[in-house]
Amino acid sequence: MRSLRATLCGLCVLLAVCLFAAPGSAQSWATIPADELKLTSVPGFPGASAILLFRDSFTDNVDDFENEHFRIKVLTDAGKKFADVEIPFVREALDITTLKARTVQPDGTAKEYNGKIFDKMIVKRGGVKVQAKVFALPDVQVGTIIEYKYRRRWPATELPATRWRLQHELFTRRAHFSIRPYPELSLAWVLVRLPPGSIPKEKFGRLEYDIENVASLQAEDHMPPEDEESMRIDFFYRRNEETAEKYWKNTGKKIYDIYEDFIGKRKGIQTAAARMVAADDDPEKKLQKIYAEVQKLRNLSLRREMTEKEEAREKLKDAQNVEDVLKNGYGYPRDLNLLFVALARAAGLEAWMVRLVERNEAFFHANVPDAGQFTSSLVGVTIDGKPAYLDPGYAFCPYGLIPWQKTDVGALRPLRDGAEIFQMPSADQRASFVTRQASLQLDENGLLRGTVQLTFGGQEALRVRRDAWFSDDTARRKDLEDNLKGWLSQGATVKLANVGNWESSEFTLGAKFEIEIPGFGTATGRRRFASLALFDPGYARAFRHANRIHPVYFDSAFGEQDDIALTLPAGYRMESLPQPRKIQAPFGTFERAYKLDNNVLRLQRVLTITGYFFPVEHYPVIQRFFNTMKTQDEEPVVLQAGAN
Amino acid sequence: MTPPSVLRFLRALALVCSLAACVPAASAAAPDWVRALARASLPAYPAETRAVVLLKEETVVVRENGDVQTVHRRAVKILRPQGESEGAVVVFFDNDTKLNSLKAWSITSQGQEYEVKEKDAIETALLQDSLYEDTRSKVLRIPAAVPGSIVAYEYEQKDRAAMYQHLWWLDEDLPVVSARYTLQMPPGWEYSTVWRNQAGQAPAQTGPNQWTWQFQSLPAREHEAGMPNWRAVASRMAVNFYPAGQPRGKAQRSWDEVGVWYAGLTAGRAEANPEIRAKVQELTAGKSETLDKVKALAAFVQAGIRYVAVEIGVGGYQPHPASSTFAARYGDCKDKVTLLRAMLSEAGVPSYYVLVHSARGAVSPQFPSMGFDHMIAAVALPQRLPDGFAVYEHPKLGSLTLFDPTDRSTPFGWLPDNEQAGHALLVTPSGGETIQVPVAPPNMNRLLREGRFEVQQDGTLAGSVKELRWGQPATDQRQLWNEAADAAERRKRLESTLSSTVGTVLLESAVAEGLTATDGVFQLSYKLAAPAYAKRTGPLLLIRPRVIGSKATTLNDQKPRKYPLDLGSTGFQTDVYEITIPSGYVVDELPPNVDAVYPFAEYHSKSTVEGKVLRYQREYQVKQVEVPAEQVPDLRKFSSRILADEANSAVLKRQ
Repeated sequence: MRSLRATLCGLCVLLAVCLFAAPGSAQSWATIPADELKLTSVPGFPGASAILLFRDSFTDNVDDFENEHFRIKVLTDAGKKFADVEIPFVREALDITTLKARTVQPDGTAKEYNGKIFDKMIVKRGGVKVQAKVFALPDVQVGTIIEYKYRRRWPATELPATRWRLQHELFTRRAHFSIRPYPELSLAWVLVRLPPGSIPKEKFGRLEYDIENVASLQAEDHMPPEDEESMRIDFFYRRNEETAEKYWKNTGKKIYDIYEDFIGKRKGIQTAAARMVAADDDPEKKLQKIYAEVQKLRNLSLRREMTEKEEAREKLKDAQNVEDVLKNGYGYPRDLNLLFVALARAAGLEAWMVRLVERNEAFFHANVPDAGQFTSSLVGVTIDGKPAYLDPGYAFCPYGLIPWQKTDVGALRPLRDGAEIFQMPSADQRASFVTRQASLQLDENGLLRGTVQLTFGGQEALRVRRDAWFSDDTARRKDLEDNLKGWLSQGATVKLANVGNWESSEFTLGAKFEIEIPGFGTATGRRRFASLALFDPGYARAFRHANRIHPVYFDSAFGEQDDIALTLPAGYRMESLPQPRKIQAPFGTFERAYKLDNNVLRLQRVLTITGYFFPVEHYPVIQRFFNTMKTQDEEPVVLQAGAN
Repeated sequence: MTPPSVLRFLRALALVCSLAACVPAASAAAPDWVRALARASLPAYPAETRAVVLLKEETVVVRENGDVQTVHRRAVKILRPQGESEGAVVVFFDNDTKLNSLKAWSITSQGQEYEVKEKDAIETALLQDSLYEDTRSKVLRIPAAVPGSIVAYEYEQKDRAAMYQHLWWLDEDLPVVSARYTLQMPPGWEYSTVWRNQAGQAPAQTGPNQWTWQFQSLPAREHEAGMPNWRAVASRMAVNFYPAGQPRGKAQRSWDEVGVWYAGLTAGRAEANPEIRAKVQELTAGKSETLDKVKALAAFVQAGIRYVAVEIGVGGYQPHPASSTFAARYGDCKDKVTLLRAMLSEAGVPSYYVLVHSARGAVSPQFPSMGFDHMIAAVALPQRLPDGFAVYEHPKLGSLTLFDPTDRSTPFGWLPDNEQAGHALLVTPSGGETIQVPVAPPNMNRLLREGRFEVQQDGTLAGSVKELRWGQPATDQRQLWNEAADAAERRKRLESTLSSTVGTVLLESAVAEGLTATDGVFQLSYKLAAPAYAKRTGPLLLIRPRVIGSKATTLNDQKPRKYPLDLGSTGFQTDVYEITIPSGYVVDELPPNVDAVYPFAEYHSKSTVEGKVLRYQREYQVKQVEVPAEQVPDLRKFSSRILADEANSAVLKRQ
């Protein structure tokens, strides 16, 4: 293939020379339009520090290089930092072969950069050096245009994937992207978050795309994975105009063969399954028993990071099949899931592997024929004629729970004759909750003290256990105490009394604390005001901004329940109790009620959020929901000093 | 860096990492000194102790020709997963301080031994902040750095030939079982020592002109919230070595000697060329007063010279010539001061280098050393600035105004708070001397916040606020606003600040004035609404009169204090809020007034009612930048009174 490619390259030399002299070239500077010289601000973004006036990005998959050209105008002092340029490269692998830079002052005076360009060492190991070309353009003032361009070359043996990220850290006024495809394969592309109807156009053997007035990508609390929110075009090569549908079918067959080869029908597995389950166990019972047995094996995803010398000394054995996994007593999550499938089948059950995307990183794009999207796996089983999903390869995951990042995502079931692309079921709020039960006393000086029983459920318990895996008991206790302290008001002291089993796959994890809060509530001459909604996870703060750019994205649906009992101090009487409250929204509810029984005041509070993804246009409703909840939480009980 | 570049860069890094994983295992054998340490028994340590330093040792060998080589050894026992970071060795080096060898070992609790060498290390410049410098680091990961293991390393490095002083740092945030320092000198050489935060110790002679200092069982340096920078509290010894009878040289026996050394390093750098002269003419044209000329030149260097650090050679101490900084219009702190000095000289104003450390307390007048990380200028004005400004009265050089041209938001005559109250080295033509950097009095750092609000029937608080700032509060706010990417980000920052004290906030408008003129007042005016600010409960309505701002210093522990507490800067803040209460309500109870006076700070608040207007006024004054350890319990009481006042509400009753 390379020889044909070389011939094609040779034939294109003349054309290439002509093309490379275009604006993407590293040979000359184009005249800067008068309007760019005059520009002093970014329309719609007053106070912006700088603007990317023009970007020209050209990728050549025939001659193995790319040209990048940036023209940035400094608009405020803060924007001068863009005159410090750092371009990473790897000598002889991703080399910078041409680099030119200049400054242009508002009056049009241009000055070529002739100063030193340093090769800064980023990292060097053995014979490999990752470096960066660094330089600082001189005499950069507000109004100066900074312009630089470079060519980056890679070895002719590579055909790297191309992704055009259309958003820069600055507002982009105008950008031109182009690619000269490798001719022996068919180039296809996928557009993500581009304006409707906007597609790359073919011109002189290149694909070109122009875009104007693109805002920078800004991060927000509770937003979807950043890649899914950024405008981009992904290119990929395919053979013979293969459709995505056909690609997934072929891929499914290939994965199926690999998996079935690994699973096989092995005597050792049959024996092990017979040992694990009883013949009269119902299917669910059998699955639970096998699940528990597989989870007892060492999960290598929880292995600490080792140096190469430790790896060499540990001499982990490769598993060629599921029987090896069982014999070794350890495996990576996919190996463990494959073993589970084999054992389940040996126990007479229907089980299969599922490949899927983890939505904490990215979403599935069915039209992108790239099996690399599927970074994870789990197991499908049939129970009572219906499919169900289990993840024994995910350490500490309780039976029946799917880690949130694997719910409601695109998935692939490999089949003998193809693939089934489907959507994993979503999980409801019962799969992710926190409950807090408190029994507290208030003294006449405003000191609140007592115990709090905290229970993490489902996803929350799973998260806490996995986060704690690499910590020792001292750190785990401190983390739990800090977690609770973070929900309480300033000055609270928290001491963990006891905690449940850290290293299990139980659905819940409980912990009991002793707490003290001095100066609880506020006092006037005769009264003390206090809200019993002690625990504030900070939702309202996450949505404090009036404007929102991205959708609101939680990990999963979730719930919270508080049950707080407060024994009042002697000599105080209740003057006023807040009314019961309820907020009902399409995506959740909040209910809160106070009750006084003798001198024990009780608050019950329930929050339920039934979804996890909310388009940006729903933001005002979300914001209002959580703000109202906070306001209602803050409604105080009024105690009055005096006779009961 | 553009996004595609980042991708490729990460791929390249992954390539490096994968190559690293292919390095074959080598035979492992820990040296006897590590094995001996592994056999020794240890006392019990508190449960939080993440690791214990079994040995830290430096052996310094001075050759006849003045070359100096140091062998560093360190062995640590890891007790907890939090101590696993001890398994990374990081050694900085440059062309003058070459690394001759580097090896590391580990012995696990099961007795397995590992060895790694310099070739296993990665080399990087990523740990530096500058655009470019020739300092790089070798990072070596020690295998099996897990609880129960001993990790140890040894490296030999050439010392910087430019100076004959060694710093030996004694205590750490880990307990140290044994610390040893050996100095071996050729005949005819002498040494002297200075100690800081540690009683001095006489060495044992362990050979011909060879001296050894040794300490056992050094406790871990504790961490306390708000404590001074670790450099201010760490124990260390400075060892100066020199040929006998040498009056001044590369050693740093006195501040004078350090000053002379630095003056030599910078000689000829602060000289003007024709272009600089022309610029001085241009900037001072029409100005007859020296102060006006100086301010114009200071403003040019402060705003017109971009901060870019390119540090090559002599450990980054030597500035670039003023002419090259002027031509490039960029430089680091010492480049900026050098250019400013050249320009001032052209205007006939003497000025001096002043070396400082950005961490207060890092420099001690009793401990001469080049332990600085920043440079400012001392300008000899013919007329003294009024009291309160950053002026040092020098007995011979007169009134010296201290100025930091690197800080873009602090005007001439003021200093950033972190540079105040510490010690600095004034480099004069005849040598050097330490000076105490003055502290700005509280009334130089003013914040006046006035708000007029109305509480509506539904509990919404709506109104407008005007904030006026001078000094450090103005500097802080200018930096915050100027660093924001655009107006939307500024708005978000303000929303975040306000929501932390008023809860949900709808910001109607916000206007800042005085963003660029650093020597004027910074004014921020905004209009806001805070829904449900007033809390209704039965017939009562609660209004918290302290609407915006938080003055308390939060300390979450009650432990006895070892170190002072750094308050940052002095200041004088006043909040005045007038809140019109909704019709149909009368004030039933007001929060109690507060008067809290301590040596380090004062707080006074008062709530009154006039007709339908609830008026709250408070004054908060920080009189000292540091609270002594014995007064920290008072600070806790002081803060809890402020917190209570900030949380208190006025109680309104329906008529």
